[in-house]
Amino acid sequence: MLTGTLDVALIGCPNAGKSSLFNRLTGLSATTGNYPGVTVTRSRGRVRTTSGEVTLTDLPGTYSLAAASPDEQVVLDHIHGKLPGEGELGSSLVVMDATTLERSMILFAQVFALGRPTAVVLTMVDELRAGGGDVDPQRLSSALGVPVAEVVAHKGRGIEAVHDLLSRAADWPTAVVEPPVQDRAETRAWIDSVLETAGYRANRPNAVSQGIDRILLHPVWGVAVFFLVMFLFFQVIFTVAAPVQGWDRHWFRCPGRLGR
Amino acid sequence: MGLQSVLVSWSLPGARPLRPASTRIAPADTAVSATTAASVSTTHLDAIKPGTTATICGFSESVDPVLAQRLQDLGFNPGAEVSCLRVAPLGCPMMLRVGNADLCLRKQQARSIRITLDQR
Repeated sequence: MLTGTLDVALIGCPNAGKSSLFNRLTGLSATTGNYPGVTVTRSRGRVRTTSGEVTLTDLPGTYSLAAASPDEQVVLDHIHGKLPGEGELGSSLVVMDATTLERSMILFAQVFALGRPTAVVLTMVDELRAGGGDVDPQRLSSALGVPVAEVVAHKGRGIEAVHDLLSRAADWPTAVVEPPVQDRAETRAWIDSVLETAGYRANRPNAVSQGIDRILLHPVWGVAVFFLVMFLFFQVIFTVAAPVQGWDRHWFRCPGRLGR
Repeated sequence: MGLQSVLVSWSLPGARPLRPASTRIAPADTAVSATTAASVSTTHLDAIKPGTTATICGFSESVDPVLAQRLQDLGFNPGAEVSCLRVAPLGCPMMLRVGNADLCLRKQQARSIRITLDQR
């Protein structure tokens, strides 16, 4: 690893938008998905900022720093510098999904308590607001004591602010007073007070998504839809695609004939 | 919202308890004050019916501490409200709503959470 470059790790719950953000910042194309568990190992990339290059590491999602599966173990090993050719963790950029902010705060508390420079990226704030919820990033920032940037990663909105943050990664605040992480009741009280200070209001459940669930997860209709989809799938292969395969063959033969 | 349903995978047999030894997990029943415990019935989360809401009051005594920790990470905290959205035909898994997220739990995992059913 080059000396003089800063190491920043993206840490967050599964499906918080870490890989989308990683791709936007590095220009790489790590696999992303709108469901949890897509990233199972680390990817690294370089980000050029105004103050030099930053090495960004995209980690698998984890709900807390107590690992319960091999991909979560990757996060812990990275943090504690147990992976080959690695030093200690540099700075941590905690990615939090605004629609499940309460749940994300446990992870933030544990990461901040590691005593490393930390900052926060808040994702899916557009979804939170569309569902009637709200949060004030400025007030969240002062409640947590770290800088907070708001992004819509898959649309690229707010990425400039993250670039800005990354250029100052070495100077991100470390915990002066660690959030309480030893006792769960204390952690929850701390989370409640932070969310209240930040003016957090949860969003309503997405009506469209609920409506789709009502049909697709119905014991009878769900099964019917499954068989319908499979039927259409085979139809596409055997009736729609079969003639196309014929054209295919034709086009491959043409150059052959010309060559003679 | 992307599909927020997560089936808590518990595939790591003998997962090392990685939390610091000093981490304390609320022992069963501590969240139930003596006065309320007398008037409402407590049961386990696997007994919840679709469309009903309950309040979590703790974990069963036999719970694996790593599982209890993870369930709390996911929002199944003592005092939290949990509602049952639907249950698969054979009763497992069950889809629950807790802390603004929809989660799926296996019946066996749900059994380790103690609840008081809301009297409404």
